[in-house]
Amino acid sequence: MLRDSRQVLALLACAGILNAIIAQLNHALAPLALTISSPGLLIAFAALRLPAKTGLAVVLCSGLWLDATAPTPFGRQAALLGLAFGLLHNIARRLPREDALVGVVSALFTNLALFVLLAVMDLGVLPDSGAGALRLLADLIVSQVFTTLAGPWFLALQNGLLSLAGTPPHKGPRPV
Amino acid sequence: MPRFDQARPLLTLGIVLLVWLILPTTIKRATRLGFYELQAPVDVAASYARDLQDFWSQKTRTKNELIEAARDLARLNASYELRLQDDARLRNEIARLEELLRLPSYGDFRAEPARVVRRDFSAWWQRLVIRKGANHGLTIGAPAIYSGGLVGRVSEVHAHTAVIELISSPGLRLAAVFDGDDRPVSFQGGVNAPLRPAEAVLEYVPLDVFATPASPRRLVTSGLGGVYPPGLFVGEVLTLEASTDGLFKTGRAVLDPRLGRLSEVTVLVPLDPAP
Repeated sequence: MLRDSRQVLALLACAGILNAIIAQLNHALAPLALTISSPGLLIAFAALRLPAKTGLAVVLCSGLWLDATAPTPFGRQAALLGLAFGLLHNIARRLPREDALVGVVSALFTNLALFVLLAVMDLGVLPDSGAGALRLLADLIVSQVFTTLAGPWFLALQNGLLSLAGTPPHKGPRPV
Repeated sequence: MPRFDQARPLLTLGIVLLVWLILPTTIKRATRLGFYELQAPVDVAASYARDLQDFWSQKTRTKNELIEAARDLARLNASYELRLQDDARLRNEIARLEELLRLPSYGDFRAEPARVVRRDFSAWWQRLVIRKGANHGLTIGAPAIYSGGLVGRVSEVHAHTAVIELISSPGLRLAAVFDGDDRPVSFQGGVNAPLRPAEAVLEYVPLDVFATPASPRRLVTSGLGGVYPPGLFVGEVLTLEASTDGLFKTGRAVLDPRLGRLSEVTVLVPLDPAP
């Protein structure tokens, strides 16, 4: 129980660092009308390396954190992240989970899936769907570039912080 | 058994979502507030760090540059002094006419300048987080302006920060008028293509109004509804075309590119907020 809470807190600290970095990047990119978002990075490590309960707690709290600063119904992003976590966690047993490349690729696919899902759900509310779709495509490209560049560092940060907290993730088959 | 293990995360998520759905709104609101206030100091600290960075970069300026800047400021101050005198005269004139014609007076505002902590511009929303909140008496719905015109309105007020929804946000609609015309048109932000200034959609434009890239028309706030003071610059209209029903025209207003680079805004806090 104590180990689980330490893991959750350590990974939430990592999520806080990533959110702060992305917020500052978006602040700087605002004049160019581009936005970075990388929810996949918040999910990848938790889904690939942690047991279901701990991972889900981390992902839901990270989602609520994102929800708190967005003008969307509170809990929506948390639910979407939770769903992505569940699906990724299910297929993780067939993947070489400890490989950083697998983590980054998982994050990229999760980003893509969430972008497409949000576009399908919300594109109609924009007054000009064409310009909206173009913007989403540009945002997706920038976000994927960021995820590819920052992914290995962020996964290493999560691994390092868990080791520092004395609760490194299990090697070999993951406990359920 | 392995099948159940596979479905366990989704099953747990389903239970959590079910509990979330039946959770009272008060608890959800408190949780949201808690998460927001947890993150707010990080953003505010980053904005102070940026200010410090600016300060040290300004310290590298030469004395000659500072003298030139002071001279330019003195000229600006002199012109503003004249404008202030003119402004006082016009205010008295408006008050006299309102009394004479028994017109309802426009609401009065208190100006509250605030630094921008964070720009949060996505395809879905365009918001600014500013470094003043309930601690400075900001209220939800108060308009925000800058030297170029209207910025938007305050959509959230927190303890030490507030969130402004920009006029480029799809969620913001207002009644605007063409400069020199008093017929209101519908304005909605939300056309935010990448690497270009934001645009807004105009509807219900009268058929006898024309605008072309060669002779663009200025769009300003109408003052209708009492939220925004009248006459604030909103955007520039370059094209108008007949709507599908032929009764009105529709068009696009190009917004000022400076909206994406704002580092300070002024919130107009109503002195006599509507009940």
